[in-house]
Amino acid sequence: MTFVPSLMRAVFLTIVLVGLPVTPGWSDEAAWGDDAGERASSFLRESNLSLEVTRLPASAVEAFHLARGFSPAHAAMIAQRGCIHKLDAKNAAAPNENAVSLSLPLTAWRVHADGEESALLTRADWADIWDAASPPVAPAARTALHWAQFPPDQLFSPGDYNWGMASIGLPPGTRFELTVVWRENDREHRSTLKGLRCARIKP
Amino acid sequence: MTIRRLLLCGLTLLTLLSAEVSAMGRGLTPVPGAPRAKETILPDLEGNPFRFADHRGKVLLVNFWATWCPPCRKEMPSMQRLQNQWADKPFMVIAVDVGEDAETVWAYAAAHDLEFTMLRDKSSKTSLQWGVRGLPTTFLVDAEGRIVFRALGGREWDDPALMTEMEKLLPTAP
Repeated sequence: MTFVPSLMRAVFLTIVLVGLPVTPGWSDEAAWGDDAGERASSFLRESNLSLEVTRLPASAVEAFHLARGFSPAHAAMIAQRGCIHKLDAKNAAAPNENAVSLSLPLTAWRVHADGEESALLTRADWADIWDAASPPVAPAARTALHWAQFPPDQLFSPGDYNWGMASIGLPPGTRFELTVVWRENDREHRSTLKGLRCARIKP
Repeated sequence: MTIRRLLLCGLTLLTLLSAEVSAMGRGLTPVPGAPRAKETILPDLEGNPFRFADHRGKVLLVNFWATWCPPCRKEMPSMQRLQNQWADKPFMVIAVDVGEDAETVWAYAAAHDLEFTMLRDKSSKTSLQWGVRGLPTTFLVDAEGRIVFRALGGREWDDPALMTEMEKLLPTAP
């Protein structure tokens, strides 16, 4: 696995860090019908991995983070810049197959959009953003975001299931592919989900 | 964004978050070496310190959760049913809320008739010490204070197969 420097990732973080303090409350007019007619979920069932990737409406993401204690500006920033998707993952091996442990190293996943490749924004990336944010983010809000994000290094035993948000880190409406990497007993697997898109937001 | 719309959006997200690959996880994973549980003292919802060591001799089901976590919410009723069924056994359900204030947890517990022990880990420090990476995560601690099983993701805790497995941990009367 090679580390790919990500221009898009750097641009994203720069925009967030520079733009946040002067950005008024972004209006969020994403109607619930915005994405009607286009599937919101993609599934990957391969070997012992069962994975669902679901696009979350930006206004719902904003509301969720507002309710956790983020300021309106920060909540809107997460919704508009995060391209938040939900991950549901399960080790589908039978519970008595104790030999099959599965892990999802999120730092190895890759996002492909407009000819660029980037990594997901991790819990650590968000922590860096909040460290630099002004006004400061409430500790309770930071804690909630930390735990709501899909863990970057979790071991799934047979029968284990978990969920969490993934921060794709692309602008609203961007179409992308997602290369998923997982390991089963130290053997690495990868597969690419195509036809994904960030939630749209009306200006 | 109006309050009404905000509430609608929030409810919609919870619904979306609940649309899972699979409703629940299955089974229990043995923890290699059954390490002794870390000495843990956390405040209950009234702010009183709760010492895990004071409950040595009981099997503890220690669940790390948050009120906004859909699979956590889903498994809570089954934890209450289990506690009710085993009320006369040396067994205790302990739910450790991660990061939220007492009022939020109390309101949720009251609305859902949850009567088992609720503790708070406001800073996440204890959760991280226990090796929790995501919510919900549950540990089963035996009567000697050793962590013997782990479950990642929600479970139906009163499922007969799980109860049979957990019953083996209960100390027998002398």
